Amino acid sequence: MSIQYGEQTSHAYQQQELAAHFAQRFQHLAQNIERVIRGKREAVELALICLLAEGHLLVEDVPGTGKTTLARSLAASVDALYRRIQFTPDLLPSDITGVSIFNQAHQRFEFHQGPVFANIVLGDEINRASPKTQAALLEVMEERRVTVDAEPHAVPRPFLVVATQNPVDMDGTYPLPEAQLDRFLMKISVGYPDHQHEVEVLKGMPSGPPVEQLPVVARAADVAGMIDFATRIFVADPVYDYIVAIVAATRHSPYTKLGASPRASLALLRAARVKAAAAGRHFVIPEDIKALAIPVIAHRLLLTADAELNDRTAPDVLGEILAGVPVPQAA
Amino acid sequence: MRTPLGLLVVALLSAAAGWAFHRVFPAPDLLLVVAPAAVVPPLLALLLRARPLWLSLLGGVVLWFAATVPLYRGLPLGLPADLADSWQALLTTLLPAQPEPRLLVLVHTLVWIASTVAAETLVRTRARLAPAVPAIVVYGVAVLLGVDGEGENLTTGAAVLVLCALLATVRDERPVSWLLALIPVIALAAYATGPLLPIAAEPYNPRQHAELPPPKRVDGVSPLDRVSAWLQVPTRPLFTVKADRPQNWRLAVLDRYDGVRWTSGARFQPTGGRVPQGEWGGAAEIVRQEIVFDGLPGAWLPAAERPSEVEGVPGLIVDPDSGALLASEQPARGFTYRVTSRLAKPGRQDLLDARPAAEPELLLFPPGPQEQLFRRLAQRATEGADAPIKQAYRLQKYLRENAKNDLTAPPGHSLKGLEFFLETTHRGTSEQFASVFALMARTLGLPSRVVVGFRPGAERDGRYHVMSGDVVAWAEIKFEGLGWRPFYPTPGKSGAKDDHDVVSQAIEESQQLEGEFTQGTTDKPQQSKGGADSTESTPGDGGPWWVPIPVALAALYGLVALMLPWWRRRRRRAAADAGGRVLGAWQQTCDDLGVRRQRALTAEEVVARQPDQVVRHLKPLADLSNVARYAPGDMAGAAADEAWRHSDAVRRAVRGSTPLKARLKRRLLLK
Repeated sequence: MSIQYGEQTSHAYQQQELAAHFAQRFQHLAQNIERVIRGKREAVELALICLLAEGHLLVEDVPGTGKTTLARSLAASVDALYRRIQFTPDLLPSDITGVSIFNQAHQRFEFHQGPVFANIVLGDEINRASPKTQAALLEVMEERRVTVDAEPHAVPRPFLVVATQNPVDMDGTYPLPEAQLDRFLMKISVGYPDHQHEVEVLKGMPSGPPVEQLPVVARAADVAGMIDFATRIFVADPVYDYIVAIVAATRHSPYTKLGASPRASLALLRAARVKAAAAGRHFVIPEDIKALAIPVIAHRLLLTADAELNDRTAPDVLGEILAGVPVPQAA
Repeated sequence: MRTPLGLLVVALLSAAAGWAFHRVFPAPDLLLVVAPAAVVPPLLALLLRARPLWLSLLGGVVLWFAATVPLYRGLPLGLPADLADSWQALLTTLLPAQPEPRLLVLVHTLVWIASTVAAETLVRTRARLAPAVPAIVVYGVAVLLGVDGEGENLTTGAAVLVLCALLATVRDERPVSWLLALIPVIALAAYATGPLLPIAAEPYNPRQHAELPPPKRVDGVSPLDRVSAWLQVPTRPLFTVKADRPQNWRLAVLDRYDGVRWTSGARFQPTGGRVPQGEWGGAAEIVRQEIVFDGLPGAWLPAAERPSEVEGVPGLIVDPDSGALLASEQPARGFTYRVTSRLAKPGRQDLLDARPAAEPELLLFPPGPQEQLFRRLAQRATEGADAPIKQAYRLQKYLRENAKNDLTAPPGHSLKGLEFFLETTHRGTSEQFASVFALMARTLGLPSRVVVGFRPGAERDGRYHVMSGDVVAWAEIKFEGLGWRPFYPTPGKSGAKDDHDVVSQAIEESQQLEGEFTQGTTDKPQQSKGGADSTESTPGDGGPWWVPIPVALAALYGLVALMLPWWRRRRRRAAADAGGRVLGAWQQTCDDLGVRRQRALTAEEVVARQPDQVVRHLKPLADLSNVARYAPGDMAGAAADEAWRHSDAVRRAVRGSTPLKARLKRRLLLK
């Protein structure tokens, strides 16, 4: 969107230009990933927003819908270190974070980094690992560092954990606790492709390269710059009020046992800033909030037994809340 | 905050609905019953809203029962029976009803139930108007039960309507302009179509279907049987009356004759003091009386014709047809009560036009040979009279001139005795004169009855002292439109005129009128009831005073509905800063599109819902409004101008695609 009507200061004009540049790069990244994950623009954009908002992404879907491919495509599009961890019941915390080993030559313990030390970490089937191992991700997801033997070890920037889980076939799995769910910025599902795109997949994707052949369209430093820019996107007071009103409504809804936390408000704000920049705006509008509310908040809600008996899901409840909370109106 | 506010409106709504019973019960007693019933359930619902419903309902039942204790001034042991019987009791009671606990408990319970259902619905559901339904039902019941009572339901109806609108507003952030707009529309529709409804002239009255109690035998000894006895002992004080002017005090009305006795066929009904108006609705004279019992036996209560208001008689019952009053038990000496009576004063033309009422049971003559004698004499007495009123006057004159009032005449009013009086003795008391007159009138087709009462009595210390010797019986004939008219066939004692003798005055008037009629000086019947000489105000020719109010409100509403959009648009276009003008353009466009109420929609969502020809202008306008509202910095004037250009374009597109009828409807509903 070009904004030519304001009597803007040079700073505002610069911000507007930068937002347009941000949007261009964002679209470039999204189009690149879409060459592999076809017909899933929304999921791709949400994953990118997660990356640029410095959040973590939980992808829940049935097997074979492209969860892992999405993470791999994202990593392949950015010139960044990518690691994959296959979560299994016998996986130990040190298998993720790393371990200190005594070096006899130097007569000291040396820390050997685990696979979590990467820009993009794919935690495949995260709910198959024990709670103890899942908890090993907690510190690094929130604080972006690993503490081993009282020694903190920072992970590189950008840092994104993409975890996947399967909603069916729950035997032998350990559902993620609320504390850990709350640390994921978004929870999305990829979904089945539509008819046309599934036909293309069957034909061997003649128009698109495999993940390994995807060109790198951004460096890690570029992504870090985009992250920094997004934090400077302007948010008007009524938009803050709108976010708080939505989150507060989740706490007072008769269908929720546990509403969204202030962490959810912060997450929604971060994501909305990225979405605004991705749209070429240097300010957030309620549309950004509304579009992101369900992926950012829904997985943090605990529903009442009544809601579940009435077949209401968290996105349903949140949808009703969004339909009832007034958007900030003109004074 | 919205729930307590909603509960407050529910309490007010229940109170307003309960207050509609003001035509059934006196206001102070009603207030004491309605107030707690309207207020307590909402409070309870507020306190227990987080608890299970059964707990709240159980608490409500306990408090309801507790609230009946002060009403009954003790434990309400007969509560279930009272509740079951109260309907029938109210339907057979003349309004206003006595404020007895056994009747008031019905109002108390109805309002309590309505308030409870409304409050629980409000706190436990999201329904918008459903909480108002119980109060509306109670209001309907009150209107039905009070259709006979004095006063009107317009004010309470308006209050209920306004509170319903208020409730809907409180329940939802969206203004309910359609509902508020409905109020003057309903008022206007009611004003325009109300008089055309079949029930407008005579509202539906459930009392018509209520089974009235059977005729009551009110006294072991007929008051007519006491006449001779009282005349034999004339100095026994019976009661005193403090009144504006002397009148004959009516005691009992007897309309059934079996050849031996005159009895009353009255169907007495309880009343709180009001006595329904008789058939005559025209000019009348108001007489106020304060009556103190002395030695008057029986439960009949004397009063001047015809009582309209009685105060100070607990357990009062009244015959709505005759206006006769009866106490539930024999009043003690010193018992005092006040009566306001309405004395019919028909004009000369009204009397001349009068036709006998068509009531066959009031024409019944006991079987026997005497009917021929009575008819023959009656026809002879009224020969040449060409109007029913003339017949009655001539019959009255005939008896007064051809028989003597003799206190020593044998008592009794059996048919045989009356035949003997007519043929042989020509002497009797008012007992015989009134009886004979009534029976002779019946042979002429004039429906008649006998009334036992008293002359005004001797005036002393500003009071009329009525003694047993003042007893007098007279006859009455019922005319269509006039009701019962008295006739005094008993001549004065020794031809003398008694002090304050209403009878003598009535005779003089009747003779004067009868003379005029005979001389043919009357005009043809033209004048209706209630002529220019009315001494009491009658309904005005211009209709009720409140009639212009709904019309004026509707006109005002129409003016506001038409002008408001224009004024609003002008104000938005003239906002001080460019950002304000841009936002004004967006608001105006939302108004034009009819999405102003959908406050949860973002600008993008508004755009997404519109057709392509609108989107072309709406999308840039939405972007501008987002910049004006959420971006830092100020807007340029050019942006505001462009915003209004887009707004005008959208307005033209909407007007072009919306039929005139829909646009008019939207405007009238303030959408």
